[in-house]
Amino acid sequence: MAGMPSAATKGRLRLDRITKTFGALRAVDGVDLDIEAGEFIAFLGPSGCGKTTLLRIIAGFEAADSGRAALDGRELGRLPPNRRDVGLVFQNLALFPHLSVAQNVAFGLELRGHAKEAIAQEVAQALALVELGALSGRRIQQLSGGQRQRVALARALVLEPAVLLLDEPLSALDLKLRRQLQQELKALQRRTRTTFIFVTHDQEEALSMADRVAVFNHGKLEQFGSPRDLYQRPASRFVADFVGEANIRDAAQLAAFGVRPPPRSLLVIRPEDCAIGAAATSLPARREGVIETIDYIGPHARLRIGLDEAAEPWVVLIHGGAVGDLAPGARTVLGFDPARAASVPAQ
Amino acid sequence: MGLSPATRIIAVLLLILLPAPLIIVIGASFSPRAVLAFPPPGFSWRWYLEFLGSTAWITAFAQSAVIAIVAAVVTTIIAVLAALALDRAPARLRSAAETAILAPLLFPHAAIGIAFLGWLSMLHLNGGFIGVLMAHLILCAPFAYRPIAVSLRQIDRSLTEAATILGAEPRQTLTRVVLPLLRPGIAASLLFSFIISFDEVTVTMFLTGPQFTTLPVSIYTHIHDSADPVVAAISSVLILLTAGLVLLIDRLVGLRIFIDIEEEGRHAPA
Repeated sequence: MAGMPSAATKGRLRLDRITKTFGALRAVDGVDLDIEAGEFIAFLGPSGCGKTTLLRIIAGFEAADSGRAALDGRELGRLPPNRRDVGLVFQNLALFPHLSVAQNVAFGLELRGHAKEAIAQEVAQALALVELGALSGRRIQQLSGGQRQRVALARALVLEPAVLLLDEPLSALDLKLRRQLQQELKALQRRTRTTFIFVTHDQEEALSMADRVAVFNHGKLEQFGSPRDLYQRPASRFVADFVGEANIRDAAQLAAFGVRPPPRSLLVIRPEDCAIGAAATSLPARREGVIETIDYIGPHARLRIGLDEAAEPWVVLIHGGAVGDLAPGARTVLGFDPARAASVPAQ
Repeated sequence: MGLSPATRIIAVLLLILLPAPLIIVIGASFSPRAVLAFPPPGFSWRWYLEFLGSTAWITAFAQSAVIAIVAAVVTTIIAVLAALALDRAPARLRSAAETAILAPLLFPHAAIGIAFLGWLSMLHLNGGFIGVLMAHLILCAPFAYRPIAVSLRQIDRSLTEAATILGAEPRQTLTRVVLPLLRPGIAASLLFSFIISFDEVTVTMFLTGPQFTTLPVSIYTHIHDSADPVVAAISSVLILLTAGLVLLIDRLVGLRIFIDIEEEGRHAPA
């Protein structure tokens, strides 16, 4: 990790119409992506959406059926994984159980034929980077889940790869440790200025960590943009639904509000943009409904409001203090501002 | 414990009956007289001294030890190579090859002995070290292959992929990750092959000759001529040696590796 660059100098990844099929399944379907050096990217999507397959194609463990990938202008083509200058943190971490912490981190350096003293120094620096310096002699079995996580990161980062791929590395951890490691990972990425590509199915994780998020569904790239773009300007119904919560309504459902969405479009109304009761009276689109459920979560409360028996209830997020004596079964007014709503294509 | 009294009685009887022959042999070996008898009419080391003082017995012991060591090492090397190759083979080929490797377990040993006798005669290798070694390699193969194949299947694919993406060529992945993780299987294979080869009689009997014989075969031929307790003394030494090796396997890798083999065998396609 000697001489950490102050600005990212490598790690620009271009993907051009990458396609991969397994039998009849199009696992990755014509994906174009342009990732800048030093970016923190999240690949987000439900399981089976192709995000892990795409990661394995970038790593070189799977060969794309068609399309091109280039890293810093160098065609990756059929280069084997060990010649790509790409690091990978596996979902199960894949630490070597027969080696100590330091030996795990030294593994790649030894293969590169570095001198013994240089290796010892680089390993010490890498372990210090992930705050594991004191545990270098431990065996992997003696470490906690979070410590193993950091060993896996140190082992990959010590080689200073142009791109570090992370395949849902936090999915096995409990929520609290997960939140803590998310912060650490983000800080680590800022310090090393390595391009990170982080695969996850957790939209909150993707939004909070990444500079830009690529959302996948059925092998296709649905949208690639900043977390705010995805949330405020979703490109498709799938993105609107998958990223955050949304009330997605068509023209027929909105007619009763006197609201008309753009032609062949759906409106995406976020729960926090809705209001009820007195707060709703100033909003341009209003209807009366019945409170079906109230989930009180402390800082806020999530309400489901039914407008009539048949229709899908609306999800509304209000300030926790505003719940007052509201109770399920009470009638209230639901309101929103169509100007604040995003629209997505109906199909 | 929900065991019925009848089950308990059967269990206790089994636990007594199983080691009984061993106890009788060991007991008889200390007899001071020239007849196999249990309980021994006295106590003496006479037959142990006779064994250690006899060039013929010691030669047979040494030849058995050499053949067992060579058979264990060679079978283990072949088994590692076979397991590595079959791990990547199509399922059908692997299943067929595994059946062939395990066949010596199912074949009558007398038939294997006769087959080897005929085959080795054609090659003019009768009655010598090479002939016995070839037979022992075949007989040890199942015991060498299974623990190694089980160890190999327990290595997560992500470990070899991790080695690769950290820069390892396939050969380096093999020497730095796969072989070290195969150690339990290799240890079990070495020790078990040694025991199988060292104790083998049925097949070996067909293949030994005047210039080359093994200890168990010598015991068998000796007992035809006389029933003196020297064979009991030698058998006691063999029992001790085998028990020591089994303990060693248990300490090094745990006998569980053989239980795993059984479980794995149940899933394997017939």
